[in-house]
This record gives sequence, C-alpha cells and structure tokens, in this order.
Amino acid sequence: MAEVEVRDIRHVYDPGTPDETVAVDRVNMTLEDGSANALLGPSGCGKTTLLQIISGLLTPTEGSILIDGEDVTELPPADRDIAQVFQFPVIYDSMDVYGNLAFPLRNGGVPEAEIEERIHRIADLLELGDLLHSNPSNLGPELNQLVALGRGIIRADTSAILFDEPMTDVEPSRKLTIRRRVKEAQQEFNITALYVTHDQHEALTFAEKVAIMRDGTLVQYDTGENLYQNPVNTFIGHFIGSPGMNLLACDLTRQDGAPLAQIGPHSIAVSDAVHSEIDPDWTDCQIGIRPSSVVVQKANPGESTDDYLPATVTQVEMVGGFQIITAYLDETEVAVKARVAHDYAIEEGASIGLRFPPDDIQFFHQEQAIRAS
Amino acid sequence: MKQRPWLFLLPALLLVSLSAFIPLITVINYSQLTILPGTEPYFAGLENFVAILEDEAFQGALGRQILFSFLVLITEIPLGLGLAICMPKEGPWVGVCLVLLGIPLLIPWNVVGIIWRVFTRSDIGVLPAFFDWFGYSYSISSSTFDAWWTVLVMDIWHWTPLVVLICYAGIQAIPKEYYMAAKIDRASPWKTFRYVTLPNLRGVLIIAVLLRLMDSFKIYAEPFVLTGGGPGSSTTFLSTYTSRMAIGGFEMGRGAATSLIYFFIVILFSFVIYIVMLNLGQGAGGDQ
Amino acid sequence: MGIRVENLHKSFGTEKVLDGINLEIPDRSFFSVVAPTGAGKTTLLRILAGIEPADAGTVYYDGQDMTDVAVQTRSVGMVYQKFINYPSLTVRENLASPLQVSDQNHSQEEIERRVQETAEMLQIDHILDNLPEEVSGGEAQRTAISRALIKEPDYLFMDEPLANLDYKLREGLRSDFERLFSEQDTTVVYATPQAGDALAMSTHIGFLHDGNIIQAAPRDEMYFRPRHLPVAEFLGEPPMNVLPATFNEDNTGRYFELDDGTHLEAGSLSALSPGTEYLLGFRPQDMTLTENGAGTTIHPELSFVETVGSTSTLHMHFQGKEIYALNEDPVHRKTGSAIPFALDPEKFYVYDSESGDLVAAGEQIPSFSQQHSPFDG
Repeated sequence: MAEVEVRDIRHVYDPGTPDETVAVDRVNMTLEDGSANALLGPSGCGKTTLLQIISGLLTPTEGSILIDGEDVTELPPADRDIAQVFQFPVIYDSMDVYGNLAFPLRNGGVPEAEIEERIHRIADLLELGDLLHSNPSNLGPELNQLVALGRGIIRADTSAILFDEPMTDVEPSRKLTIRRRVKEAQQEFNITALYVTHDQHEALTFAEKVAIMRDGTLVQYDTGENLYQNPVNTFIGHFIGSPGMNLLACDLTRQDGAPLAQIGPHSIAVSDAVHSEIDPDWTDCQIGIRPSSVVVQKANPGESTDDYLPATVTQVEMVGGFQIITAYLDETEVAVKARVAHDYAIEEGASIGLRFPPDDIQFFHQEQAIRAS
Repeated sequence: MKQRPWLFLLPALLLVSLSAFIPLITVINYSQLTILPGTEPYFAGLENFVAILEDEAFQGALGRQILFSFLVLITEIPLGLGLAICMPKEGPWVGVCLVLLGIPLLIPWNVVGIIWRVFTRSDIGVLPAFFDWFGYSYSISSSTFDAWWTVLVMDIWHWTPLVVLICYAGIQAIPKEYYMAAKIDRASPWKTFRYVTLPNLRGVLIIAVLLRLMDSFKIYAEPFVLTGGGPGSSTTFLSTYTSRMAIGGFEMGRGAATSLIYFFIVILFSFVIYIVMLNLGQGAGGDQ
Repeated sequence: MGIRVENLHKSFGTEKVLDGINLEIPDRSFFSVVAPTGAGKTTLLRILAGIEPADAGTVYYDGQDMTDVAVQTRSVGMVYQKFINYPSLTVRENLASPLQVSDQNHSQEEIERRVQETAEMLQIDHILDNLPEEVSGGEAQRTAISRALIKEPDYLFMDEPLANLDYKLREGLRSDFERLFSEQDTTVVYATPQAGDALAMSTHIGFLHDGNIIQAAPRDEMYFRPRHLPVAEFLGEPPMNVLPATFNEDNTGRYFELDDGTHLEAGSLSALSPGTEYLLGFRPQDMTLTENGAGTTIHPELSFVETVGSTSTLHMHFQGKEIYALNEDPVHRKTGSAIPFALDPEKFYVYDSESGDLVAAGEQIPSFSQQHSPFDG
C-alpha cells in the first residue's frame, strides 16, 4: 500500500458557462500509508467528485494527486493501481467466486500456485472460504460486495482502495457483520483506504480520520474523537453525533467581570479555560453541548435543584440503543436534547431538571468554535 | 367493479383473435383439405403434409433457408455487435451514427429489393460495371453464386443496423463501474469484452438473434423483387415456396399445410436457440 | 378508525408471502410493520391500502369491510421509497394536484390555504415555487409526503420512505414524523426493515416473520417484552445477544450453565424447570463493564470496537458466538483482550429453545400488563 496525497485540488464543472459550479475548492489532505480514512458529507458536498479525481476518472481543474510522492494527476485509473469498491457490487457473473478473486492476478500473469495461496488467505479473512466455487449471482449483495472487496485487496501492489458508499445495497440487519469484516481486512492488510459515505456511523466506525466536506470545501479532517469533542464550528457540531450537538443561542452577561452565557432567564457557566478567550461584547454566540453530556434529573420537589435548569419533556424517541429526550427549557423557546438509558422511565410532559457540566460545554462565536489557547 | 379491467382489454383481444387466432384455425382447417378450383373441398387428412415433406422442391427450399439464416446470423450478429462497440458513446457523432444506421431500416422491403435490382442490372447496374473492371463477369440472373451472395449482402446491409441499435442500447445500459473495475483489475480489451460486455449483453443478444432468425426465415419481398427466386430455384426460400404453392398453384390445402410446417420449424429453431443461449456462459466454473 | 385484518393470505406462484395474517392497527396509531427485506411488507401494505387484492381474507377500516371498495374511493394516501413527484410541476402545483383531481370541488382559496398549511407543517414552504429537480432529496421526499397528507387521508401508508435519504436527513425526518403524526388524526402504517426507524417513530410495532405477524404491540412492549426470539433479535440496536444455557438449581443457588460449564446466576427468574436448555437473551446495553457488578461477570474476548462519539459498540467472541455490548463511554482496549462484563440476571430474557417463545423476563426490565390481544401470534 502507499501514501496518497491530495494537494490543493480544485474542480470546476462547466467552466466559463452560466452553469459554472465549483464542486471541490482547494482541498488538501494526506492519506497516510495503511490508514483508514473516511470522506463524509451531505449529498452535493463534492465528495463524489473528489473520489473520482483520486481514482483518476476526472482530471482536476487545478491541483495534483500524489501517490508515494509521485504525481499521478494525469495518469488514467488503470495506471494508478487504486482499487475501488462501488455502491453496488461489481461482479463478473460468468465466473465463480474463485474466478473473480483470481481475475486481477491472472491478468497480471501471477503463477496459479501463488494465486491459490493468496485467494485462500483472503477468503479466510473475509469468511468466504466455503463459497469459493459458488456462482456469485446466487449470493446476494452483501457477500458479492465482500467478493468485490476481495478483488480489490488481492493484488499485493494495490496502492489504495476507495469505497464509494459500499453499504447502499446491504440489508440493514447485516451491516454490522459486513462492516466488521471490511474493517478487519483493512487492518490485517494495512490497506490505505478512503471510504466515502453520508452515514457518519459508517465513517466513524471505519476510519481513524474522517474528512468532512461541505459545499466543496474540507471543513475538518480529524480523528472521530476530536470531531466529536472539539468540532471546529457549529456545522460539525451538528453534523457529527446522532442526534447532533445541542446548539443554544445565548447572550453574554458579566458576573464578577467574567462572561456568563444567558438563555432567557437561565445563566450557564462556561468552562474556566475558555473564559479568557471570550470578549463579553460579542453577539451571535452559541453554546454547544452533546446530548450525551446533558445530565437529566427527574424533578423531585423535596430536593434542591440549584444546578439544574427546569425543563419540560415534549418528545421521547428511541435512537441507536438509547432514549433521546427533547425538553424545552422553562420560560424559553429553547429545545434541548438529552440522552438517557434505553430503560430510563420518562414520559412526555414530565418536568425535569437539566444540568450542563461546564467542562462539556463548547462555545461558538459566529459559528466558529472558541478554544482555550 | 372487479371485471372492469377486462373491458379495457376486450378490443385488443378481439383484434388479436381476428388477426391471428382465427386465421391460424382456418389454416389448420385448410391443411386437412384438398382444394381444387371448381370442385368442393374434400377431407385429405395428413396427405398434404406427407406430400410436402416428400416434395424435393420443399426440401431444397428448406435447406437453402437454413443455410441462408445461418449465414445471416453468423455475419450480422458479430458485425452488429462489433459496430455497436466501436460506435461513439457520447457527443455529436452519436446522432449522426444513429441516423445513418436508421436509413436502411426506414426503407420498405420491396423498395430495398428494387434498389438492389437497379444496382445489379446488367445494362445500367453499378455492380456488373464494377466487377467488369476487375475482369469478373457478374450476372445475377445466370450465376447461382452471384445471386446468393448478392441476396446475402443485401440482407446484411438492410438488417445489420437493427442488430447495432439493439446492441448499442444494451451496451449503454451496462454500468460504467464494470469497466472501471475491469481497468483496475488489469483486464485486456479482449478479457473486458469477454467478462464484462458479453455477459451483460446476454439478454439483449438473445433478442437480437431471435429477431434476426425469425425475420430471416420470413424473408420474401427482397429476393422476390431482386432475383425472383432464381436462377432456377437457387434463391427460392421457404416463404417464396409457400406463396407459390398457395397462390401461384391455387393449391390452398397444400399451401396451408406448408405454412404450418413452416410455422413449426420457426418455433422449433427459435426455441432451441433461446434455450442454448440462455444457458451459455451462465454461472459456474469460470476459466480456472 | 383503526384497521383490522382477518386471515389474510397472499401467494405469488408457489411462494406463500402472507400466510393467514390477523392484525389490529389502533386508530390514530403510528404502526410500523417491521421485517427484513423481502419478507412481504410491501405486499401487506398494498393489500391494506387496496392497491393489490388478497387471495383470501378481509380488511376492515373502522369496522367496515373494504374488499370491494376501490382505492380511489378510500381515504388513503401512499408514500413510496422513491420520491414520486410530477417533474414538470412546481412543488406548489405538486401539492395542489391531489385536491384538484379529487371528486370534491375544492375552491381555489381552500386549495391555496391547504397547500400553505401542509408546506409549513413539513417545512417546505420556502421551495414552493421550485421544480422537484431543483430541491434536495429530503425536500423531494417531504414534497411527496405532503402530497399524500394534503388530502387529509384517514389512513396513510408509507413504504420505506426514508431509505434513500442522507443519514442526517433521515435523523431529522424520523424526529419530525414522530412529532407530526402524534398531532394528526391520521392512522399511519409504516413498513421498514430498519429496527431503528421503527423504534424511533412508532407508537405500535408489528413484526412480520414467515408470512405471519408474530407479535404486534405498543412500541415499548415490543421492545421490552419481545415474546418470540426473532422479534428480540431484530428489534434492537445492536441486536440482543442470545446464548444457549441450561437452567439448574442446587445448594449453590439457581444458575444457568453455559456450554463450557460457566455458571451464570439466575437471580429471581421464575417459571424455569431445572435441567432444561433455554436460550438466554440479554441486551448489549444491559452489559455493565465492571468486575463487580450485579450478577455474574463474564470475560468475552474483544474482537473489534466501533466508537461513535461517546459510545462504543464492542464486538466480542464468547462461547463460540459473536456478542455485542454497547457502552455509554468510549472504550480503549486491545483487540484480543478479555473484557469483564457483569450480567445482571434481573435483565435477562429466557426463551424456549424449541419454540423460541418467551418463558421469563428479569424483574428489572420495565414491565407491561400481560394483556394479550386476540389477534397476535
């Protein structure tokens, strides 16, 4: 495998015409040798264009693609040794699974004995061993997608593999298993991989680093943990996480000289570390907090709820193995989502207390994250 | 309420029964009779069928028909497929190619015959003059060989564009990802054709082969106009034989029996080819 | 205005798709029909809507036999997986079209008012003058849903309407649907292969398995009391873990013995007979990552961790099977290491190893009155 560098790529469709659109705008990123990467974004963000530029189907308007330092911008796809797994499984259905896996090797003149050894190794890994002599058209899209992946990684000289929304045809209840096998193959063979998807769950589970695109630009290219904990702006905060970060518009007030976020009648302390970075005269400010960080307490008249903001539950949903509560802060129009365990007993209409631990609060000014320096 | 859909289908059903079903029954009825002008038809049983199958003229026409259809298929299908592959897949030339291909298909069949009749006339025709130049004496009315290949070339000129159009539509429908995958897998152009284009065109090719088989079996107007079935009976095919029997010879009973035999031969051939092609290259093994 | 279905049969050739379905869909409920792809959800939906006839059986709307009532005269709306809008009409005209073609003569003012109201409800009022091709996938699907809703149908059928949408849009629409339909008078029947969609939006869920609805109940009851193993294994994110185990009691207490001899405390689980093999189910959320939790601690071998945001899904090998655990905080452990998980018997589900029927459920699982409707499994 190899290192793939995307250098200052810009791509314009229909340049010079009224339909001119900038699909990709000055994107830089380096896929390290053997690393798993994902390219994530809503439809129309330019991720498919960028993928085609890397695979060689499109020549960028500006910028270059480097594989192990060598400029391949002008090379056709075949000469880049970049394999691709497509949205739907691409299978040669006049050959059995073995024939499919052997195809790239036979085309390269690899001796049959070596082919057989290599196929068995890959079939073991992808758990296709019993199916080598089956006709792929009887196997269904999940297994075919694994065969297509196997064909991509069977060559020892493949420099990278691109995945283009490979789970599209996979039955939802089978995704977990297929994802695991794909990930295990990536780790075992040290594959340099780029996985394009609109599904953050697939991106975050597959990749060590995820690039998030929006309107043709690369917004943040970072580890899943950083994207979640330290989003660079409100877009990432909202986009990553299911549901996304709570983004609550606030006014700034001063208390003992230090700024304090004010939502309606409620004051919320910001972490000590960011205090010094905030100008108390700012407007257009938001605080952000993950639903998983919001602490929920069922209102109990006898107990003191000093730290807790009073709120009323309007919706309870079951999402991703947890319950997500939507609650409006009393005397405001502000809705907050909070996550509780799947068997936490709570009803719509209930009065609860919410607490935002200061260390888990992000601060945004004009949609950009403010960090402690 | 539930019967309403049938009402909509009724006109179509009536039309089909009038145009196909009733004539078929009539023909089956006729085939059992001996019908001579001026006399009452009388029942002949299978007599007509036996007589036709024993008729040397029929055997000759059938043999020529099979040879002709075979030659047409093995030329037009590969040629049409090849041209379809070579055709541009996008840009302004697509339209130009499609129009050019469409021209032969738009000309009525007997007009095609007349055009080629003019080409081959010994006095003003292009072909005799052309071959004369090379010292070859071309004559469609005296040389069986010349008559045969002229009819073949005419059919190929006339009908290959149809095969091209069918294959072209089929090729356009193959997702481009298959070709990208083949490139990445280092497949040679031949292997790409063998493992991507051909398997994906199987259904389309079955349609093209069946259409051409059935159509070539029915060939009538063009050779009738061009050669009149001659020289001798060297370009007399089944349809010409049948129409001569029925209309020329006033033997309606025999004619009907010929039609039925003809009908079953076409069905039999089509069925065999369909089954063979359906199973061809399907599934197992690959080339290990 | 609910829907009742009696003894519905449907076959395609020799393949029995629906094999005697009995079902009660409560009035104004959001009822999800859940099953893997190809199990016959779409067929069931079409028969309920009246688009396709059943081979046998009866569909009642609000107690009325609908067998001979044509779709056109029923008060139904339908939304498909593919967003079907008229491409040459603007979003506004698309929304108005069902009212314009209907038999009732709606005045122009009324049509305009309802278009505006429906558009605002589904938040597409800003694109009313665009053509469908000019709007995003989510907006196109919301347009299609608005077209179904504008007729104010009594019954709305949706066939995987979120399947082709971006993840974030899905997430938003799931939440919107839940909110929207809880305020409407419409009875919604929603077919999906996604357990997540059904759990997020529905008031009721029915599980289709081998041509039968094997359980239908309010959502929480389906989730916390899955009465049959296929329901338990399907309705959960990630799915419930299931292990074969033999129940026993002796002077050391009451326990389950696993294949390798490991004993798991059985707590207060009742109605179990000693020496019988059961299938023991426990949800990935109910496994506590600790050495000293309630119940017995097991040590499965970690094969793979998926961390999304603050939660980790752990794929592990245990007793020759793949099991999952969902942890509320990120887990950073080495592949191959043994991870301690406490299994609280009060959160166990015990299934009959032959029939797959629920035998017992732990005391800590939220409980429901065991009131059986005459129509399910």
